[in-house]
Amino acid sequence: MRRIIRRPRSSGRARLVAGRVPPVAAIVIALFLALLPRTLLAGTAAAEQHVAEAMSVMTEIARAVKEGKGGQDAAFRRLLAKDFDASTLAMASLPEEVSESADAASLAKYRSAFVVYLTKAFLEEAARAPLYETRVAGSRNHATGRIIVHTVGEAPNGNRREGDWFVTPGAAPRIVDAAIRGILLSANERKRFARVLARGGMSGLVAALEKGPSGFTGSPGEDVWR
Amino acid sequence: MNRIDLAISAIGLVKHYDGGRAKALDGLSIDVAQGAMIALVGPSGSGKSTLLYALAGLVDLDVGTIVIEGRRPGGEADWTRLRASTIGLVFQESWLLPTLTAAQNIELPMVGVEASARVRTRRVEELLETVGMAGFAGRMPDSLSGGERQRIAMARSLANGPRILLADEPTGELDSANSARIMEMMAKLRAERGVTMLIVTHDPRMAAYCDRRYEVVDGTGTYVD
Repeated sequence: MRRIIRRPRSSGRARLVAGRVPPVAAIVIALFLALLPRTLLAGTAAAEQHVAEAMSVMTEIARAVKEGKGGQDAAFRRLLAKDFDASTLAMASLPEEVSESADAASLAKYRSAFVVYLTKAFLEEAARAPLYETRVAGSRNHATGRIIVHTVGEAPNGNRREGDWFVTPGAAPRIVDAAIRGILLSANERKRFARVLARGGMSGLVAALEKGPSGFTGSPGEDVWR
Repeated sequence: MNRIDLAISAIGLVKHYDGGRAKALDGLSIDVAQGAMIALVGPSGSGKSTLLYALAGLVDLDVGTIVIEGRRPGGEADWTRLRASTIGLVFQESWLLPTLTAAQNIELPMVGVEASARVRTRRVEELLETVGMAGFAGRMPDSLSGGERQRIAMARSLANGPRILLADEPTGELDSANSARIMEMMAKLRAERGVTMLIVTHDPRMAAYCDRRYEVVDGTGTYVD
């Protein structure tokens, strides 16, 4: 009787295991593996990771401020550039009639002054407020298509600070707004800026923003970062 | 541009009672972010409850604008729709219907909103689970303790998945253990579902569960911390 000996056929997986991968397939596999983490993370997980990293940087900046280390304004600006969409936040902080009617040059000045203001506001509050260790507690989808990442901050004195961070979806998330202890950043600033705009127009607002929170003494609004 | 809307924005609310002799709200304005948990505090008669019911469209304001999730309700029909879908109410007393079981009380607001009886039943089961009352579906209100009745009332207020919950002293008639349980449940709802909450309370321990306190005095108010 003839014995039929079947040799196992080499599958693609077997070739991969054996290390005999055709060059084109190797490139495809390499690309797949390189893109895999981002693909898997797209959506709420990516947003959560993004906010967790931003919180960690903010905590480090706040700690450095408390320790009297200089240069934290540059660190906060880097954070704004990398992790936030400061331009969208700046525009949302203007009353709609102003953002729609202002010319491009004055809006550019405003956006730049807004970053100065936001940086000063955060650093001043970081110096005053307790140091919060903040963790991501969950996330959910928002009607605008953004992802809301919920955070809980705990200070050594027992204070809690919960926040909702509105994050753009996708592989390169950005924070576009935040509600900290129940106060929405853009709406709070809109209220605060409205009085200065009514008195001094856009140039008055830019001048006030460059002074930081002290430029808005007597204006309505809450201390959001506290 | 796609702005993030506030859950609630109330501007310049004025309300008089008694033919204009008693002023309950005197130009009060308040902004509340989505997912916020705010304690409304202040002395008795300061206007807290009037504010709460105004935000549910249950007070005929003399003057003022209320915007819910970026939209200004146009009239009674709009408010009715909002109360059926977006705004849930919890009161100091549970106001459960005594002749209905716990499950039937919870199901009641869904009748006319959710057509499928199977969906309603499933949601009732989920809500009983949410408020820690699984196994109490068939119980009649008079066989429940005050804390249990309030938890059933809470489940009823969540029946149509509201994004805003307005609570008028929800722990006012409860002992401290049951009060803490209710507040922990509310904090969990806010954290997990992003339900915006405005809670009238006199109890500082209950207010401590909230993000901030908004103090109402003589019909006007401000955030105090």
